Amino acid sequence: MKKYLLILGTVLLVIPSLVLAQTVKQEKAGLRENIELKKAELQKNIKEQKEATVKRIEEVRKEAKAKVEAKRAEVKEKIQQLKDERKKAIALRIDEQLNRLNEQWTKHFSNVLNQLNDILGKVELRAEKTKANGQDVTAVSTAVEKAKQTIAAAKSAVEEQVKKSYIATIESEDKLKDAFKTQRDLLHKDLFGLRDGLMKDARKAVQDALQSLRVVPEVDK
Amino acid sequence: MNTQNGKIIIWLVVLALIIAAGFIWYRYYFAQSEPLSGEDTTSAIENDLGAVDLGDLDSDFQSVDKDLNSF
Repeated sequence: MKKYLLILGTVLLVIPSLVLAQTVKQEKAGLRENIELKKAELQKNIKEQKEATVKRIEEVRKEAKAKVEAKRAEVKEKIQQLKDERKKAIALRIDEQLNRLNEQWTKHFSNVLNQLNDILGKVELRAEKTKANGQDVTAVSTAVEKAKQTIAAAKSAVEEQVKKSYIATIESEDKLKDAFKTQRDLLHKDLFGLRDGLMKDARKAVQDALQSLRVVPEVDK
Repeated sequence: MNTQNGKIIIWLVVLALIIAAGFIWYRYYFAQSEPLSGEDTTSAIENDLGAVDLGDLDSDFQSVDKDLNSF
């Protein structure tokens, strides 16, 4: 009888242990699979967003260029009519520089935002891995969402900046400097405003998301 | 015969170099363009974030200012 009870007790202990071990194993495999799926999904989303941003910015740039084409041609014509050859060369150079700067810096800002999006993707992925290890990442998810919104706001602002053009209104040869300085100051204000405003906010938001991740225990395991 | 062999060897070397260059370019390009590539530990992410450069606008405006002042 004792023998039977011992066997029964062993069976009752071993079977649930085996079932539990199998369940844990399956759960771990499931979580690993989930992380891989999440990574693939994130990669796909980031890639699509990047491509869409590049395409959108180029479209907006083309539209903006087409809109001011006549005005730019008119200003160039006025510059060509200047008597002073030296001033003419300077005016043409500044006109070209101002518009090149806007194009160059909006491209740069757009690339930076894509970079920040990539980094935020890594934060999300790490948070997912940490969650799979049983940690609470609610604060990270909130910070990631906030960063996404800030990046989106910065993207819109860059798009608005792409639409702008800086064309001097030339009235007379002696007011050339003032005419170009007005446009220079405007561009300066806009680009600095964008960089020190929403661009820095976007970087800070990603930094905050990372910070919220760093404080989670065993985050890098 | 020797000259022909030499030519073949040269062509093979050139071909190998082109393939190697293509392979390096492919690896480099895709490593760059693939999101979430590289490490995702918090220190690696911190390094990535540290490398984000918002840019030095001042230096770009210096040449415009120089031209403006020479009017």
